[in-house]
Amino acid sequence: MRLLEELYNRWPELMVLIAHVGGALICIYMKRWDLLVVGIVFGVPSTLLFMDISRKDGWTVRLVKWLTRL
Amino acid sequence: MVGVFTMVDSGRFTNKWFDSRTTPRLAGIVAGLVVFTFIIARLVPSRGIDGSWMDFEEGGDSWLILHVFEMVCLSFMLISILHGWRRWGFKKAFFFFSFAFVYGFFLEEITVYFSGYYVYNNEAWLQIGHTMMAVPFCWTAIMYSVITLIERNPVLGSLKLLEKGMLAGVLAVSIDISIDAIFVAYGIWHWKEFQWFGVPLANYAAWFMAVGGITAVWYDVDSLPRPQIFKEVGLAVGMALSYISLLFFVLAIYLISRLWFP
Repeated sequence: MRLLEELYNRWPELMVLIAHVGGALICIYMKRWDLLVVGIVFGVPSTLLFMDISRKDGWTVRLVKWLTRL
Repeated sequence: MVGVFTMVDSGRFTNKWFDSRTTPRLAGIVAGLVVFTFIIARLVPSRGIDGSWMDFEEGGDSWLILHVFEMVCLSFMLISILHGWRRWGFKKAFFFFSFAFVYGFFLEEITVYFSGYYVYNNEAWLQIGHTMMAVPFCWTAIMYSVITLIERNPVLGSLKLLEKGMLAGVLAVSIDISIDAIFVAYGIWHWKEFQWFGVPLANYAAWFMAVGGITAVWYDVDSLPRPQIFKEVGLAVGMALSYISLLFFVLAIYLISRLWFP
């Protein structure tokens, strides 16, 4: 039950992760290595950004605080 | 400036949409990302799809991927609706999802019909008019996810509306920049011209404005202490304005990309 609750809480990030992993698997299946590289280069930061954004001390929050303080 | 902006301290103006100190800085970061995307798209040798994009064979790979895509997008939206219902309650969730879905649908339908800039594969199971319904399903799920994430974080929740919109737009583009190219390669939709692996850069401008626009408008309307009907009218007007600004922004990126990619 706790796992389900955690998955529920993390649904927005999980959805993005599923989309990127699904995309990477399709690239491997169709042997489009150029697209796989693009998927990794842009997909990993995108997934990390979505995971980071819900953290109170994440990089996105730090960036926003830094911009406000400047 | 009275009534529009409030002066907080010397030389700084702010209201719920804009802060003269922080908003231009965030806009600068977004502009930097746009320039970065143009440079990367110019430097990276990219190719479109191989052969005829409509070569569909029932039971083949492309056929399978197309229908899996449709079902996954539908599932994403349904789970997001359940998530939103539990998070916000029925009334607010119904309000948000009905508008987000209608916005996503009309955004696609009007753009496909009038611009002819891209077409969807007509083998899709779920289609209304010229639109593959999986796409509005996805729009709805992505809009909800981005809004929820920003809302959940108290620091980001205190950003001005334009700043929230910009952040939401960047998040949305970060998803699409790799995913769109993959589905184009499988012939799920087809762009008439492209600069980035079968996808035009103007598409990312549309993603930025669609998700960013609805995020800003949603937060504005949601915060109004008014009866529901006023919020509904406000959201509808906001969506129309958001779509008009999207068209201008997309046109600007389209014209710049025509110059940048001769």
